[in-house]
Amino acid sequence: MSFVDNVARSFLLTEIVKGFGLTLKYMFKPKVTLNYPFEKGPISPRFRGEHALRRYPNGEERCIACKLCEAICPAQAITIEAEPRDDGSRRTTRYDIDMTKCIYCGLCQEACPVDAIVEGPNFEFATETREELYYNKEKLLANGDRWEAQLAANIEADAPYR
Amino acid sequence: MASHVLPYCGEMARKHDPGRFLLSLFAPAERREDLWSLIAFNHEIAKTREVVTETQLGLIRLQWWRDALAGVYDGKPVLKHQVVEPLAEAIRRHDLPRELFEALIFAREFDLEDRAPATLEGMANYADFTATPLLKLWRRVTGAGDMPEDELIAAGTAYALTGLLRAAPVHLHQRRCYLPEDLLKAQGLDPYMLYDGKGLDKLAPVVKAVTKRARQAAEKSPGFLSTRMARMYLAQIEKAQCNLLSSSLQAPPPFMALRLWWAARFSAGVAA
Repeated sequence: MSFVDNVARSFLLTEIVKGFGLTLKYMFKPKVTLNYPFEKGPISPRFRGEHALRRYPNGEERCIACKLCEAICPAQAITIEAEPRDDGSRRTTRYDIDMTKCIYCGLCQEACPVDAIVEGPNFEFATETREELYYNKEKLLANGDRWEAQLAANIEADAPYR
Repeated sequence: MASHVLPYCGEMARKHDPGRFLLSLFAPAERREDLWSLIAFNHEIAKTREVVTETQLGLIRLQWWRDALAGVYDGKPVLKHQVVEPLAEAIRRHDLPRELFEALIFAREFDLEDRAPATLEGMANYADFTATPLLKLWRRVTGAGDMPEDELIAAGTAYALTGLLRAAPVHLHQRRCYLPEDLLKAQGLDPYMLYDGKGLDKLAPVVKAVTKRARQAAEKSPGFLSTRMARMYLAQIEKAQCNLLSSSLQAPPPFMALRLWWAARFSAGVAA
């Protein structure tokens, strides 16, 4: 009996029809995939991605070189050198993050009393060489300028009344 | 981008503490900036629990603020921080006492313990510690006259208790609870149930008790504009049958600014 069954299936092409039927069905269903570089999945406002150094709205950099982030960093990825500027304010002369050491725990952001160092929403910073992952101050400030609108919005995402 | 019309602290106050920002508008124009720096400072220390995941980190942040203020009082060069700088100016101009700032910072250490207050009085004490020193600083800045200590405490407590009630849904969402534990227990609730969104329908009697306590404090401090504001919010909560999740609490009480202006303008002895 199974012989007859198999022959009938082969001659009537039922498998192929079923297969095409399935394909056709999925053509009318919503897509489950994202067109990645152009579309991205949702991420939380607390997402911890690439670091950035923020500025105040008047353009002055926030970081006051208190070195709390350097002290708290469990991976010791942050290196800071600081000296007073001409106007008497203490500023960093060097602010490096070794992104190959960083474990993205977000403690630097939590420790920062001026909300200067933050981990932004950017996760696309793959590089071709290791050297490119040793971020310096210019790179971090440029990141801050680039992402500021979103960073500010993320920080304020869930604040209650006082 | 943020509007650049207000100074940094003003913008911060308007965004993060709209209630006190509104109250600050009833102060003389030349003193408002100093009030905003106070509000911004209060926001900076109050947000500590929200931005840290570890107690120790929160303590480090608070210690940083202690050190920053110590620098101001010891006459060291002021940090280039857009809250510390105007705050230092305000301290110099109005001779604000250091103990009050220390008290505010100390009060915020309780936030880091992640513990609900044991009793209603505990909650009222927390409200007192986090709001009364700020109110005293505020009155120094606005130049309002002296007030008996118990009236100041009552005003601070009334305002902060109301604020804690209004913020309760957000706090619960963040897995923090400032509602008194014994009252919760009497309803068969505990904070962890509330964090999971269970038993919220049984919360009304607890809210009612807190509202009553806030009303008592408000009655003892009629001469404060902040108390007027607190009373409006309390009335709103009572009207919503003490359901803190009611959508009617999303909007401010009707004509709040107008009613505050009326009180400030025509009621005798009411000051911001």
